[in-house]
Parts: sequence; C-alpha cells; structure tokens
Amino acid sequence: MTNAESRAPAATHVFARARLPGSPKHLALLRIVLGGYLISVFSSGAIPLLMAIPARVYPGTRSAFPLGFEEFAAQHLVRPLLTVGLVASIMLCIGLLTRTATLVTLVAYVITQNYYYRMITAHDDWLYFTFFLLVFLFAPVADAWSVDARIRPRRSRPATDYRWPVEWMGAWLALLYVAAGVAKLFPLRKGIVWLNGYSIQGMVANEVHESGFYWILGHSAFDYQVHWPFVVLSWVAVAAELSAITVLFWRRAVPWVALAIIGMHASIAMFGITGFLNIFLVASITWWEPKWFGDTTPKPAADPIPDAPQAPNPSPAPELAAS
Amino acid sequence: MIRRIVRVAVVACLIANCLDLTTSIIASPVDRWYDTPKRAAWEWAIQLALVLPLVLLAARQAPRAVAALRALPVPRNALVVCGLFFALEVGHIALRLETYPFSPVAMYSNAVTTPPPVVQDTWRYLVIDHSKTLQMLSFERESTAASQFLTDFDYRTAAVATQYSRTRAVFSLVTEQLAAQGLPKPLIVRMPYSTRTGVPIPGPMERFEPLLPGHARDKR
Repeated sequence: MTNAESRAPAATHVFARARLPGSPKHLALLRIVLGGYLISVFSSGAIPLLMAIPARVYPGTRSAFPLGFEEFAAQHLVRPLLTVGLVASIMLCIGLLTRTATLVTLVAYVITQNYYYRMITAHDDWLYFTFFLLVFLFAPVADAWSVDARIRPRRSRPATDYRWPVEWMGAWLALLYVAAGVAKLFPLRKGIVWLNGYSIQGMVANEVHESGFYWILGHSAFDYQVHWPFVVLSWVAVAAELSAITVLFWRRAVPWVALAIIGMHASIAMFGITGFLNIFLVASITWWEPKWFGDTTPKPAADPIPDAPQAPNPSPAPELAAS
Repeated sequence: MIRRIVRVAVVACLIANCLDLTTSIIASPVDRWYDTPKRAAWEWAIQLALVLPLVLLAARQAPRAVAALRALPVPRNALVVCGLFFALEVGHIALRLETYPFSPVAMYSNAVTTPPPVVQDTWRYLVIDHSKTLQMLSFERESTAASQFLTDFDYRTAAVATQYSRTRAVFSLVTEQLAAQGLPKPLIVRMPYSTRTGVPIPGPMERFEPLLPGHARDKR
C-alpha cells in the first residue's frame, strides 16, 4: 500500500477512488472468477432446452438487436456461439490471448443471452456482466496470474490503471441495486402500494414449493397469510437495495451494504428464488479493497520490451498526495 | 453539518420528484396488475416546476463533473464506450424501460393490492424416488448442489424448466434424467395447496400429459 493510499480518507467518492493505486492481482482475480462463472453460463443446459421446447419470444420483451438479426441468430448463431463462448471464457479465465478472448466472450455472451432473455423475460447475470466484459476490453486484466503474463513480460504501468476498472465495475454493481430499489418505489403512487407487502407475499406464496424452508421443514417458514412480516420484508428489501448508493460516496459502507445484500439474496433464495446470490458474490469482488492484494505498486518488467515507451512513475493524483 | 444534511435532503427530494415524473412517462409491463392513478393538472404543474431547480443545479455542477471525468486516469476509448453504456443504463432506469442489454431492474416491482388466495393451484411434477416414496420435484431445489437428488439442473436450466414445465421438451428431459437413475416416468398434476403452509390439499388431482411442443408457458 502506498503512503498516499494509507493517508486517503475512507469517505472518498468513486471518482476520487478511481485515481488511487490498484492491484493487478485484484483485476486478475476478478478475471479468473468471472471467466469461471461464464464457463458455467456457456455450458448450461438452459439455452439448448429453450431451443428444444421450442420457446417463443416472450410478449413485452424488447431488444436493441433488430428482429431480423435475432431470428437469424436464433437459427444459425446461438448454438455455435455457446461453444465459441465456452472456449473463449476458458481462455479468459486462464488469461490466454486475453484481449481477443474477452472480445469473443463479450460477443458470444451478448448474443446468446439476448436469446435467453427474449425467451424467459428475466433479467439475469447479463445485466451485471455485460458491462464488466466491456470494461475488461480496456483494462489490463491479464497482468497477473495469466498465461499471457508468463509468455510476455508485463509492461510497467501506472498503478491507477488497475484501479479505475475495479471502481467502474463496482459503481455499476451499486447502480443496479439502487435501480432495483428505484423500480420498486417509483412512480411514488405505485411505490407506496408496493410497500404494502402484498407483492412479496404473493411471490413467496407462489414459490413455496421451491423454497428451502419447505424442503427443510416440510411446510412454510410461517403462516404466509399473516401479512405484517411481508410489510417488514418489503421495507427491508428496499432499504438494502437503496443502501448501495452509499458505496458510491463512502468506502466504509461497503461491508455493511454487501452484508445487507447477501442477507437479502440468501433470504430470497430460502423463499424459493435462487440464482442471484452467486452472481452478487462474483460481482462484489469489485468492492474488495485493492490493498488486500498487497501489490498496489507494479513491479517493473524484468526484461523491458524494446522500444516500449517508459511509463511515468506511478503516483497518485496531486490532490490526494496533498491530503 | 446541519446545512449540509438539509442540502443533501433537498437534492434527494428534487431527484425523487424528477424520477417520479420520468418513471411515469412510459407504461411498464410491471404495472399490469395495478393501474397507477393519474395526476391532476396542478400536480403536474408543481412537479414540473420542481424540475427547474434540479436542472439549474445540474447545469451549475456540470463543469465540475466534466472536469472530474477528464481527470480520471481512464483511456479515452474506455471513457467513451463504457461511459456511453453506463449513461444508457441510467436512462433506462430513469424511464423504466427494458431494452436488452439495458434494464430498469424491475423484477418483482409489480404493485399488488390483494393478498394471495388461501388455496392456490400449481402444476407439479410428482416422482417416485429411490426409497419408493412419492415426492414433489422442485426444479429450484434441484439446482442447488447441496440438495440435488434427481436431476443435474443448474439454476438457469431450473428457471427454464420451471417456466416451461408443461412442455414436452422439459417433460422428456426430466424423464430422461430420472430413467438414467432407474426411476420411473414422472407425473404432471394440477395440485391445490394451502398458501398458509404450502401443504398440498388432499383430493383428486388433474393430470397433464405434455404432447404438443411449446404447449404451455406458465407453470400455473
């Protein structure tokens, strides 16, 4: 950890944090974990099952892709792209030809998940990870723990090159949770009705047979016709989601917000909606402290690349140094 | 300190007012169970008038925000591409508009005004497990490694199987996976259950035989 970082106040907003030094290992861990997660996405049986059904476009869903392209993709592209994406995400995970692998993974992911979304209407991991892959395209994600770094010596870079991608992805993650809270509360006339708890009560009653409580206890966790617990759950869920905004302004809020969101997803999973906890656990690596990785100052390349321009001495932003 | 708190609260109220207006512009699919009351003309007037201070404030802060963006140690291409994507997502959130790959994250945001009925129907797979016991198959449970007994579904496959449970493809897949374990063909039945406890209500159950491809989308 540099002196500047140790002196930087915890109550820094995301713009200020993006100018602090980061760690190549932090980005590398994110690349490896996200690559591993995407391997499970591309090898999932969900899309082949949708094709076997064969599912039709869900009414009310919209896509940025033209319908003609979607039809072409559904017939000719989606199935091969699952294989291409699987290979590319393995390469991303191990850090082999990382930039190309990221681009191929992004293209395969966006097209295949478009099909998945249009057939099932749920926003899923694509909402989190499309932006992450987009940031990966511009970030030095393969400077540590990668085959690329083994083959070619690492360029010396300013330590901030490892920080801004993490902060941007972290801000995106916070934005999504704030958006979920906003969607529940706005328009306010609808939001006030949502807070009456009937929405969650209906969801829990619908999913009772899928819930962990049912399979452990043999019945529901409590009498689901009793209303007040669902009022409390609704308010707590919105508070947990909206609390994510503090992550943008206050670094010290991260553990509390993360705990609140993990608690929310764990509870929802116990009530029968699985899937989002694992996505959050992967994405929330962006909220980890770079200093945990110990390597916030890049080492110069052992064998510098000939003719490569010398990177400037890594130094924090002047105003942070002054603080 | 108090002045700062008041300032933050005022700005938060102005943003909430603005969001209240923008989220009302386009009807969202999550509104299908609740018809949001319309605003009176005077409400529109007040709310639109309150947008003005926010616009002035934003205009005053804009040079600072642009300077802060320019000061970021981010490559220009990344700033443009990722910044545009970020801005488009913010726009979709503000308008409650879902256009893949952008979303207002509105799952489970539908407002409901009545409690669920005391007795509810559901379509369920019944299977005879290894201990010759008739049990209800839960795709969601099967998608969790710790409680996976009869199938090898991941959570995405489980979500598809739940949503399209009465289609021939899902039925065939489940039958295939059960057969691989030496278990007989499952039954799909319409089953009433108590929403108080989740316990099925005894009585004759309607059986469903999936024959047509793409027959049923909804599990209920």
